[in-house]
Amino acid sequence: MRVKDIVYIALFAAITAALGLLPPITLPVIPVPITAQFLGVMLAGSILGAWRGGLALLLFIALVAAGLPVLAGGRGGLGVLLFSPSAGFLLAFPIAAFVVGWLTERFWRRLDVVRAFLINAIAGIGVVYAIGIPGVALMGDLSLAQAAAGSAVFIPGDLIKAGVAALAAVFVRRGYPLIEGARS
Amino acid sequence: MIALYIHRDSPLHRLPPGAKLAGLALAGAAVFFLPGSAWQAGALLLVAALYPLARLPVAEIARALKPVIMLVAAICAFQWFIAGPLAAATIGLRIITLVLLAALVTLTTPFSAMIDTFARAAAFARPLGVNPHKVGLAAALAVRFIPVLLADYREIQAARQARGARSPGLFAAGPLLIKTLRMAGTLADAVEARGFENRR
Repeated sequence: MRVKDIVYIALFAAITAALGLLPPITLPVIPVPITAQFLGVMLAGSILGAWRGGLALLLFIALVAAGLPVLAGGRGGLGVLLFSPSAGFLLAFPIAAFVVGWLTERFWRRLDVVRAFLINAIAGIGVVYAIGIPGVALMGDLSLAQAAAGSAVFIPGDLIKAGVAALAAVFVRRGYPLIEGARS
Repeated sequence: MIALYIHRDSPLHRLPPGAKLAGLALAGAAVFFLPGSAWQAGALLLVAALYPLARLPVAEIARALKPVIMLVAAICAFQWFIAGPLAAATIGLRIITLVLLAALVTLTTPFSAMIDTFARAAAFARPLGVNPHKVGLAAALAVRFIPVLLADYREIQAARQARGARSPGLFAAGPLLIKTLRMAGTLADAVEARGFENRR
């Protein structure tokens, strides 16, 4: 891994952290405030690709574990990261970034806003909820269906983030591409 | 950026971070499988007693719980409804104990000591091509990038407002990304020019 890759990994870990420091956005349509941190996952995957994107989020998780209060609302530390009922969602971030990155690399030559949105919405949101929901079920001693019902309120907000990530990814692909489109 | 660590002189602060993490893993597993609410309550008292031992103010217990308390309350209410008060208490106590235990490790271990421990742990992955120097560099860079990014964001927002833009801040994402990616590219060249690549 070259120095340039290390710097990009650090940058996207920092972007995810900075997104947690912005005030949460409340939309009139959705009852839950949207925290933008998940956007960092999608951006890292769809701009850096699989390995660098996944490692960027792994580094972000390491920063949280080491005690930097960079989760939304100034939270952080091992307590929230490991044992909060929603811990699974956070721990899924590196894997989700990797999967989004992997698919983005596959579709790189034909990547447009629609494809980027579908990758983020289906793979990104899918992976995070596939790991997050069992986490809620485990910590809260709930059935998977109950945990899924409780988590579903966040999906509309996450879809908006997938849209923003898709627009940004296509913008950056045009202006400063970082993924080589060898395979298409 | 102020880390969550609180500086005190206590036996818990003096323990090496690796030992605390290993202890957390063992104690966490034990708490998770404790049967019944009486045992859970005992474990919670034990963990709460560790806070004065670490010379942390009792208010820190409340602060450590604040991020999860709403979620725990919701889960407890739901469990009470479907499984009765005893089940709700067991599950609530278990989550609170685990969160307090893990938060204690964070509160008593300096950020840099924890990152050093992670980098040293990464050395075990050397056969896979992981370079612990690069892990350390990535962590240091990320911490430094956070305030830079926030400043860049405010700058771009100010420029957009000066032009009369009223759209939400998210629309600054594209220009902000390109600006910071360029900065990162330049920085990488500078690090490379100092021969970092050859450190093993």
